[in-house]
Amino acid sequence: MQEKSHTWIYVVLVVAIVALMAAGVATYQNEQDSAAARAKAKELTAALKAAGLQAPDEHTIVAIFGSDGGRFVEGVGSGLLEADFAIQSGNAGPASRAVILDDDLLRAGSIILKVYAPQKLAAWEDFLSGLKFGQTQ
Amino acid sequence: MASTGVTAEGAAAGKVKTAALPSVKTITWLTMCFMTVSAVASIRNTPSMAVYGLACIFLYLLPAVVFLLPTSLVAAELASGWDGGVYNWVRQGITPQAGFLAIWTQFAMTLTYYPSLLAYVASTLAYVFMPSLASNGYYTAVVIIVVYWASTLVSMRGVGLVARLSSSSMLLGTAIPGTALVILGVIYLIQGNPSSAPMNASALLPQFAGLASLVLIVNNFLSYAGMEVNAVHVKSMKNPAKEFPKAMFLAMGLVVVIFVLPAVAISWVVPAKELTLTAGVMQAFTAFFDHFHVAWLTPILGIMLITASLGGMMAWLAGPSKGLLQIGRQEGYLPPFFQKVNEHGIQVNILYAQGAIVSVIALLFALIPNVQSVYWIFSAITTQVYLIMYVLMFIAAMRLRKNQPDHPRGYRAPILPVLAIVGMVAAVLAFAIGFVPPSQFGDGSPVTYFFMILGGVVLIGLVVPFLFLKIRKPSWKQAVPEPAAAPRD
Repeated sequence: MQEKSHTWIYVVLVVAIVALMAAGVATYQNEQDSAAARAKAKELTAALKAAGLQAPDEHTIVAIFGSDGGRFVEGVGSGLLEADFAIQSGNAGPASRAVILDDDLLRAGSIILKVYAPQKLAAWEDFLSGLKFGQTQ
Repeated sequence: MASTGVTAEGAAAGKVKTAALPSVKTITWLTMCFMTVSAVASIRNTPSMAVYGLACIFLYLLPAVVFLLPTSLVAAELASGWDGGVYNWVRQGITPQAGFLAIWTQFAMTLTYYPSLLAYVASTLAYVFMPSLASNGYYTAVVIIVVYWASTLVSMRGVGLVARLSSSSMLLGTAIPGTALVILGVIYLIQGNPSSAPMNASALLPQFAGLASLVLIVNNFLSYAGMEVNAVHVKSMKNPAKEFPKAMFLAMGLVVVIFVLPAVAISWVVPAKELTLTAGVMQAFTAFFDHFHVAWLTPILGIMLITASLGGMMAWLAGPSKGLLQIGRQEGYLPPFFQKVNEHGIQVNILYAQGAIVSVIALLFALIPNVQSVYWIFSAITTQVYLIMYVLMFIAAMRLRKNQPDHPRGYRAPILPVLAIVGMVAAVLAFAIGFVPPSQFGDGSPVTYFFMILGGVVLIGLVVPFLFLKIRKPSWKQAVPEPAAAPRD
C-alpha cells in the first residue's frame, strides 16, 4: 500500500529527469565552430606551446572555448564559481576540503584569458594572487 | 527508476512523540550497498584526479587501505551486532555522552556539506541550460532552497523510499556514466590512439614534493568518508547480521572502482592536464566526449551527475538525523519537540530544524561574496569535527571486542585491533593535516589558520554538544526499547 502511494513520486522524478536530459540536449550548444573560433584555437595552441604546456587538438579547444572563451571566461571574477572551484579542487563528496593547489594546474588560465578575454585577465590574476601554491606533481 | 530490491515500505507506526520507530524490513543488502555507494562516491570530480594520470590509482588505493578498509570492516562488524549505527556503537563501547558526540559530529558535518553540494547542482544545471546563471547568487539560492526542501519532504515519506531513490540514483548517475567513460576510454586505446598521460611504471607513483603532496594524499582519505552512515538503518534489513557486512564488502569494491577507473580513462583521452582544472570539470567531460564526436552527451551527463548528487544527499538526510533522534530519545538528550516522528517514523522536526539551518547557511553562501570566499573554511572545520567520530568509532570497536567479546555478531572483522589502530591513525593524520592552510588561505599566517580551525572545532564539535548535554532533562527520556542485537541466523 505504501509502495503504491509513492508511485507518483517515481513517475514525477523519471519524467523530470528524462525531460531535463532532452531539454539539455536540445538547448546545449557546443561552442560555436566558426572561423573565429578556429583562429582563436590556433592562437591558444601556439600560446600554450610557447609556455611549455600541452595543447589539446583544435577541435577540442573549439568545443570548450568557442570564439569567446566559453564558460570558463564567463565565470572569471565570480565569487560563486571561485567557491565552487575551491571545492572541486579537493576531494568530492562529504567531508570535502580544499587542498594546496599545484600552480601548474592553473598556469593556463592567464594564457586562455590573454587569447579570449584580456579584459578579464586582471580579475583572474587578482584571484590567483590570493592563492598560495605548492608542488604535487 | 531501476529496481534495487526494496521489498516493502515502512508501515505506519503509531502516533507522534512517543511512537516506536518502525522496524519494517524494507532494505535488501543490495539496496544498502548501493545506498552506501551513493552516499560516498561520485564521478563529479573525476577530471580533477585524472590530471595525476596513472598516479591517481595510488592516490586512491593507499587511502583505501588505510581508511576505507578499516572503516568499512569495523562498521560491518559493529552493525552486525548492534542496531542504531554509530551513536549506539559508541554509546555501548564508550559512554552515552560519547555516543551523542559521535552522532552530533556526523550531523554537524552535513550542515556545510548540503549547501556546497547543492551549489554544485545549481552550477551544473546552469552549465547545461544557461551558463551565465552559474555566477548569479539569486539563481543559486533559489536552486539550493527549492531542491533541498523538496528532497527533505520526499525523505519524510520513509526510509524505504529514500533507499530506493538513492540507490537508483547511484546506478543512473554514477554507475552508468562511469562505465560509459571507461568503455569509451578503452575504445580510444583500441583505436590505436596513444594515451595522453604517461602509462609507464614510473607514472604509477605521484611525485612526492613535500607538504602539498602530503595534503593531497591524506585529503584523499576523506574520499571514503561516510561508509558507516547507513548503518543507522540496519533495523530495516531482514538479516542485518549477515546482510550488512555483505553490503559493505561490495560497496567497498564499487567505491574504489568508481573513483579509479573513470579517472584513468579520462587521463587516457583528455590531453593537457594544465587545462582541465582551469577550464572546469564539465569542460573536461566535454573534451572527453568531443574526441568521440558526442559532445551532445555532456548535458545528459550533467543531469546524471545532478541525479547522483541528489540521491547521495538523500542518503545523508536520512542517516545522521535518525541517529540523533534515537540517542536523543533513549538518553533524553533532545527536547521532546525534536523527538517527534511522523507516521513513517521519520524525525520530522529534526529535519525541519536542519532545513532551517541549511537554508540560512545556503542563503549566506549564495548571496554574500564574503561568505563565498571563506566558505571553504566552514567545510574544513566541519570535516575536522567529523573526524572525531571516526576516532570514537574505532575506540568503541576495540572496547566492545574487549568488554563484550561474547556479544552475538554476524561478522567478526579479522585483526580488528590492527584495523582499528590503522584507521584511527589515518583519522588522526587527516585531522592533523586539516590544520595546514590550503591555497585559498593565501599568505595568511599558519598560526592564525590553526587557531581558526581549532576554535571552530571546539565550538561546533564540543561546546554545542556539551550544551545539549547540559540542558537535558530526565523527563525528556522516552521509554523506547533498548536497541537490540541485530538478528542472527
